Amino acid sequence: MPAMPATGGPLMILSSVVALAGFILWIIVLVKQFQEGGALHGVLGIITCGIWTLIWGWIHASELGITNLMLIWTAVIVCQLVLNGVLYSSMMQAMMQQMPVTP
Amino acid sequence: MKEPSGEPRKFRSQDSHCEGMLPLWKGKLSPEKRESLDSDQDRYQPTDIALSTKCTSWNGMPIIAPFVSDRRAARIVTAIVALLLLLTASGLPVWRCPVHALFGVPCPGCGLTRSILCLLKGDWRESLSYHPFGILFFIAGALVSLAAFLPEKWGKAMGRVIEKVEMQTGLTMIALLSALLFGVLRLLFSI
Repeated sequence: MPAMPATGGPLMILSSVVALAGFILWIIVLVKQFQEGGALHGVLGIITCGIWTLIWGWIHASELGITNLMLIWTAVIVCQLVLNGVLYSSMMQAMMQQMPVTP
Repeated sequence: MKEPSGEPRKFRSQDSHCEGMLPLWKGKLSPEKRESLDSDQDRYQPTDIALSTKCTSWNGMPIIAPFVSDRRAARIVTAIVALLLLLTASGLPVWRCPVHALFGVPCPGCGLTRSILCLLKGDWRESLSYHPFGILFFIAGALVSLAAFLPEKWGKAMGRVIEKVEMQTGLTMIALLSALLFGVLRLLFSI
């Protein structure tokens, strides 16, 4: 297992915080989905790992008055994607640095 | 929006057969059309079967049929799924499951994208190992993708057939609940 780069620690903590925020926001919209859309849509939202919940939430954002909530959740998702990308590239760099140099 | 009596508007699906639930797909409604939501002017026109069946939360409510009937919805879903599959296949960062990201355990749907990718490559064994319900979602996705490119009349006709099957057999409900049950069992017993 390659050693984590120097920026890995704070980035990992930030990634966990963002993941927690994303999870909480997903649950809030999922509850709305169960209440307003019915149980089948809620189950589909769970099975699709929140993708259908995100789409459904945006379709009905104005009627349910959750536009701000959806904006925040979408921003959190974008942050997660960016952080995942940064963490992935830094781990790959660390792996490359630790590979033995062949003569 | 408020009712004439001043009470907040209660959102209802097509007529009153699914009282308290929003329609699946309304699309962009003009203010005039939005006001007529109580009448049969909704984007998704239900068939007689949907209207005559008492709709409860756990009844055979159509899930796939509205997407197949609405070509624009079918195209949007097809584009999203295609993007997801492409990103997963290329190994780029994609949508991360909130459950897996936080707890490190798979949710009931984790593995579906990889399962569908394996099916697209023709490897059904590996597809089953990732998620046994991948084939069902693959079939549903294929129907929606087909409707995205068919003429609108054909899509609506296909939607009516699929709606009939969904409402009368409850197949979608059974499949979704089974997938959910599988996910819970996988989590509990590390299948």
